[in-house]
Amino acid sequence: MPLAWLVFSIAYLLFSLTIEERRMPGGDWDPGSAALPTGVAVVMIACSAYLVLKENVVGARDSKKRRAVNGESSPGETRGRLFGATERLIIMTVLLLSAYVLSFRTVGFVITTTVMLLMLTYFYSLGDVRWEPAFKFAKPLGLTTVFTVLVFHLGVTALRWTRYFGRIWELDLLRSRPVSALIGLVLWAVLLLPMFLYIRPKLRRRREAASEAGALADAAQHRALSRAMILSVITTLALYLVFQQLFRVALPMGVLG
Amino acid sequence: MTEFLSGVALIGDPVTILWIMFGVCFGIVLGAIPGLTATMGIALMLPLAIQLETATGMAMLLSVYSGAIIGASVPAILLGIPGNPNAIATIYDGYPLTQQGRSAEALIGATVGSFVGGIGSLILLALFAPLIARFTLRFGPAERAALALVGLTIIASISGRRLAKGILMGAFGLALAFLGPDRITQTMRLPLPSVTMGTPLANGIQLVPALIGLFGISQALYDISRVKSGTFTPPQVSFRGSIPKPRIFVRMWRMMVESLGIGTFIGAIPGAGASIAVFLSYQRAQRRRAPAVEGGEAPQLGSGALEGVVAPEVANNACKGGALIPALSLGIPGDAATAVLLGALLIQGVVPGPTLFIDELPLVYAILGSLLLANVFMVIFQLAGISVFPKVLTTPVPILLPLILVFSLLGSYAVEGRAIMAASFNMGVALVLGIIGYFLKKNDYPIAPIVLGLILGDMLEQNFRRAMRLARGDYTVFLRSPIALAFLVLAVVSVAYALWSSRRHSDDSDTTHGEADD
Repeated sequence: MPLAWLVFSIAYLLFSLTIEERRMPGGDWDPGSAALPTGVAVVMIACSAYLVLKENVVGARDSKKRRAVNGESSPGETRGRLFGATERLIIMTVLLLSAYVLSFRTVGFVITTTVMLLMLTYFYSLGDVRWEPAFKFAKPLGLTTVFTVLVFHLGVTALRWTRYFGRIWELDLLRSRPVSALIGLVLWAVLLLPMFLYIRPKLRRRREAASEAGALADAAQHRALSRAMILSVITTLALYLVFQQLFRVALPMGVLG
Repeated sequence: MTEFLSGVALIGDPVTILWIMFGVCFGIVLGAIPGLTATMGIALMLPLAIQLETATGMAMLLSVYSGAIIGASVPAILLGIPGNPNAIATIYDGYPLTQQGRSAEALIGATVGSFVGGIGSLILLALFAPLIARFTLRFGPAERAALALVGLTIIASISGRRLAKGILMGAFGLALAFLGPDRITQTMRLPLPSVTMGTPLANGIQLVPALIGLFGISQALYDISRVKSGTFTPPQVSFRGSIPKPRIFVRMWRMMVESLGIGTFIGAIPGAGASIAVFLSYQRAQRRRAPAVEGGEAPQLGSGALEGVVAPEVANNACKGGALIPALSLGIPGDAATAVLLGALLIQGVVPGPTLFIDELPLVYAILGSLLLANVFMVIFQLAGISVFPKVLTTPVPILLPLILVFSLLGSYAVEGRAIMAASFNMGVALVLGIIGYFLKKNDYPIAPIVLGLILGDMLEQNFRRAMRLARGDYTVFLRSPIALAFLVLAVVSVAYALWSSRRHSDDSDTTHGEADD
């Protein structure tokens, strides 16, 4: 890490030396635009060089001594254990978040958010990234996304009609942001609640059946999946209400637009 | 009087009160979940706050701050795990009380202590902040530059034994602050201008996505290791026979006043941190308690004494008001949470310092009033939620983390509201800084100095250059002004103390290692 910082600091110094030296009008005594960035670069180089020296000379000596005292293995011997479940989850999260940011504008808020939430919740619930269940969950992922899109469209259409009637009946209340968000909330709650009441026992039965059959991994998978599906649908719609309806943030609709 | 009434009107409307209530609830829940801090909560709520009126947004953020501080005492008392490091001292007596089946008593004690600390420090804030702010009217560019330097030396104290790492991070924060156009000459300071010129990076890095990335996303990534920790059975909270009588608290008045003084004073010293205050007040309460115990009246501190819960909670909450004194009067944040609050004010175009107390007096009254309301709601919700807290503590991490991650990204998107391109870019900034923040945390680099650099970079550069211009390039301008000189001395003392303290700690640990090895 300190070496990476040293490289970055040197790169920053080189960059600061390329900054155009412009001074404020009539201010020959102004140190200029590049003065402070250059000073900061020097401080960064000094600190990172100190850390490199400290970790490579003093740190290496200390850790060698500590390993000798405690009988620990050297870092090279433990290299095979570097990518554990947590590391796999972190890599998956970073990849998913990057994909989310990159596709947010083109694919749209609803689909990207549903997919990301479902995948994150599912894998976090499993506690690992396993490819076999990842393949198996493609169907529920597709179903949940289609379901969210449908419910979303129904709600948005209803909200448009509400605003339309608000305009022709000259009822400002129907067009206000909080009321609009509230109507959306009630509408989606009415739509989702019966469905969840219908689906939940089914999911539970499948989980229990798997559990009784001794397939504990399958039961855990069912549990993770049902939790992920419910959370992703509710959260996506709730976030739309808060950000778009309440605060008028222009969430991109992407392919749904 | 007109300003006072305007301030009251700003927070008196039902919408603001609802946001305060929401903020307190959110803060308590957030603080109650181990690992989630007040700073993270404020950073997450920042995008919502900037969509609201300035006073309403600030009221909401301050409520989150207040709620998160008291919320952190809940897992400390019920589970023996501090919600954040400032609640560590609460464990010593809070958890033994839970083990004795007196958790409700401990939670009520923590609530009373928090209320006393919150209200007491609010009064001190209202008294001292305007005085300090009025004094800052004498400041010119040289004094302001020196003040920014003092602010940056907070890095030394918040970095502890990692001083070199802290300075490196502070410098990195300054480097981030210098990206984009130079505000004085409009010179572009962009790496690879052919690539970056047409992107939103040309306007520099925005504070909100940076804060969300550094405190929200990085923490969530860091917490992924907790997804496998499993569930636990929460303790049962029973009220029967365990509600402490008011006279018990009245008897503690002297200890409460001492803890209030310790908390407010330490909170007002930029970078000192509430963790020092809670231990000092606990130590003080221990000394005060000792003779009574010898008489065999009550349990000693550390084995389930209510004083051991009340004293650190008074100090912890008093730090909140104390930290706001330099933040509002000088524009220097007292801790990481007030740095984010300061950022919220700056985003709204409100500059802390003397102008705040002259031009924006109603807003100052609104801030003070909202803190008062937040403290009142804090008591109500904390008492009402005592039986609910064990359930909150069981919120599964696999549900919590995806919510934090998606809310962080959407929050940084919402800053730009309707400009989709710039808003999407902000998400990228938050993600990149979140990943950097994660690696920094993992390698024991402090994050808060980056924020200090980001916030104070502009103030330091502009005032330094103006001072140099006015003094015709004479660097002794910083030594000729008594105020600037005093600040420079303070900066040197602050760094020297941090160095001395760091060396002393490492000597101690060397001795300990030596003993262990022997």
